[in-house]
Amino acid sequence: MKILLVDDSSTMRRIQANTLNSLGYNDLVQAEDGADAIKKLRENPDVKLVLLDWNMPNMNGLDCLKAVKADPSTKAIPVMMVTSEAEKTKIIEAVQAGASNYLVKPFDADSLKAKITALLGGG
Amino acid sequence: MKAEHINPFLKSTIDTFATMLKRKIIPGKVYLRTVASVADISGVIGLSGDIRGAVVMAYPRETALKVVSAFLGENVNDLNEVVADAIGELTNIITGYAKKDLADIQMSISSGSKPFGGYAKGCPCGMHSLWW
Repeated sequence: MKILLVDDSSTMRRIQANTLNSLGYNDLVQAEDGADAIKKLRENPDVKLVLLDWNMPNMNGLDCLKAVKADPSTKAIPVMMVTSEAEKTKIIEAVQAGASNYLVKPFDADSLKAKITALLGGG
Repeated sequence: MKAEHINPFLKSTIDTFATMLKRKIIPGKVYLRTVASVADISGVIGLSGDIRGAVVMAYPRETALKVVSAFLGENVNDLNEVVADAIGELTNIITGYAKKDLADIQMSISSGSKPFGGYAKGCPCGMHSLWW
């Protein structure tokens, strides 16, 4: 099951990849900003889940989310925001734009695992 | 410098270390630094809005290696670009999380301010440090 990790921090992608690997998800694609994520989704039509940061250069996470949900070929892919944006207004904005779930940094590995398992229906 | 502006950063640091590093940290006495920090590695992020400036988290080498090892869940033994990126991202998370307790202040992480982690690399002469 292929998962796309989108974060401009290679550290965060590494932490998320380590957690996903421990869950048995080893087919991972990484993108360093929203524009790169759109490109990677076109190249990988079999992506089943996107973990998406908010604050990134080039195209931020919210604009990327809106682009994913506006494209008929990608709108069914669940997108979980993983971001340090903790204000309620931001969470509501993301959910209204189509986010399937929202995880605020700092997070522990168990929270990430639980939300991914809920979205994908088990490892 | 007001306590209500400092405490969110202390709380955020404690919470972030507890959540993402599984480490309990206890703050020491808070004081206004009057001399430059002597640190082997620092994470820096710019702030804009009502507060303008930067948040800097500075670590001695051994502390940085332990912090990043716990953060990544991997053993790291040398100060390098991976450690610098991790220290920068940790600074970013702590600053972002502190924002929610600063509701009375319009504060933003400066647009285009990618968190920066830099470390001192010893000059071959042994007398200077260069920042990378």
